[in-house]
Amino acid sequence: MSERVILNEIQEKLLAGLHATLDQMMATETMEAISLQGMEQRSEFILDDEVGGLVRFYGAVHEGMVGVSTSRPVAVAIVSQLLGLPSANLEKEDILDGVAELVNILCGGMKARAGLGPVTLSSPVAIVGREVTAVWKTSKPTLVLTFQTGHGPLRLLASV
Amino acid sequence: MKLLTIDDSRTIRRVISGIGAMLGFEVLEAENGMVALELLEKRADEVGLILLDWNMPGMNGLEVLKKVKSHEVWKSIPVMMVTTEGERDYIIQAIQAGACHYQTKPFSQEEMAARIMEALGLGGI
Amino acid sequence: MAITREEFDLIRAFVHEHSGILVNDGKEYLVENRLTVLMVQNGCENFKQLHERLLKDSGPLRTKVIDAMTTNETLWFRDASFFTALADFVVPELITKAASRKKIRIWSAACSTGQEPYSIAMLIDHGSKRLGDKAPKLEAFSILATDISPSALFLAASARYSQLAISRGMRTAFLERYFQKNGMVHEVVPMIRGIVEFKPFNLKDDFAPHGKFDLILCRNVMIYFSNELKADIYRKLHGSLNPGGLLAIGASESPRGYTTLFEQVMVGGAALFRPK
Repeated sequence: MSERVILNEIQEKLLAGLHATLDQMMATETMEAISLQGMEQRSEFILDDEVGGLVRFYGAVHEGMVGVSTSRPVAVAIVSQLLGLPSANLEKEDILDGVAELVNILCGGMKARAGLGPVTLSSPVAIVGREVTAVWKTSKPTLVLTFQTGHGPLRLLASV
Repeated sequence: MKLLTIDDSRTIRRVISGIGAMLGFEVLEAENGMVALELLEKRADEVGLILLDWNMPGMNGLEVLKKVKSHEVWKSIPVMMVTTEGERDYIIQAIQAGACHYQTKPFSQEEMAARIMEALGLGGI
Repeated sequence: MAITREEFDLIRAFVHEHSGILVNDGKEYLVENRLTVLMVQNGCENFKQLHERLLKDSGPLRTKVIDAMTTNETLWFRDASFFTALADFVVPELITKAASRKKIRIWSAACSTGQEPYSIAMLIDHGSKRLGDKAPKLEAFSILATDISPSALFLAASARYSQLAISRGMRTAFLERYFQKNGMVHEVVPMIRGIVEFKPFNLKDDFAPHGKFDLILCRNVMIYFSNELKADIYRKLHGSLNPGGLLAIGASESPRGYTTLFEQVMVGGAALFRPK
């Protein structure tokens, strides 16, 4: 993370939009305090934590992917607050669905804020389980934002 | 009178059911457009407001909206879009197709409750 | 197409003029997001046209715009150290005053969806119970709860909260005692509702008709106001407090620069303000 990541204009806009959407979600829906810890660039789009989510977007000019990768406790805490249900009452399906909706909202908010123009979102994908590493072959590098939450780190991934 | 939430996310359907209950409304749920249209065939007279997602597998929200608004009976049911799509073009399309409101996700429950009441002509606004 | 700088400035100047609320830089998306529907519904092609319509409109559209820009959410017992200070120090003092047959008046000046006034009513009832026979009647207290947003007030007066709203800070013991569960909804019991009165009110307006209060809560709202309006509101708050009364503002807010009006009183771990 010591390496400086140089962003082009559209990446700047998208990351700002992504960050702002996450802040809005945390403030309006989950009340979970978060803070940005750092940003790095990777050559591949990898989801390798216990819980992952992903949405693709594609338009005439821009296309890419937005993902989230985090531990089960963080995902449970976010989904539990999203639903207003105690975390003990959450089933695996709730976490899958909640994480899918989380990436869906993040990607939707990001593209609206960044003013991407006409862009279509794919259906969201969610992964819950141990020992999973999912890799997407992308032509563009992946930017990874790491946030600290009350329950551990949360990573947002964006490839544009 | 009941509310009908059409959204492929059961998280969102449950959140909306909770808000509906807070306002004193039972909430019917449909996970996609086809299920929703089948439900309307049988129970349209119970539905006072439709809350409709845009991006869903199969028929998208705009198509569902157009079907509802071109139906002889269903067209009188107010429809509020509830979606992650926040660009002006989407909002214009939805309002022109007959949506009465447009709420983007994420929403706070107070915001959503306020919009529901407004759509139903309640709340003194 | 997105809101232009010029349009953003027009809209936020309008919102400020009519509600006192400052819409800061960086909130362009909020304006776009919340007002585009009203723009389209009113046949406007852009925010400039919406602004023109707003200037001609004296009622419904203006109310809708202000309402859309001010709907916020609140928590129960928002700011734990503040409510601990209320429960341990402020409320017992008010109960003692009420026991000596004085009517106690409290004002929740930006009550949003009602969590704050109901929280206080619950603290009063809970605190009074400890006095047993000597406890004042709950009717010895009255809580005026106001907000600028009609839809927030509608929700507040309905006193019905979802599981999600309840999960944001309500204590289990209070949930059991002060709510009736009705399916998925928790409804505040009539006893607590009975001492809270809701009214629409704009903090820009004259406070005098409300009378004087022993405790005023005007929390987490000053941040939205310009310095001129803040100064005006602090002056009016000063004039609305009984001698010895207390003012509570948000933990991140402070009436600095108003030291001629208020002195700070540390109560428990929280800072409150007493009129000089």
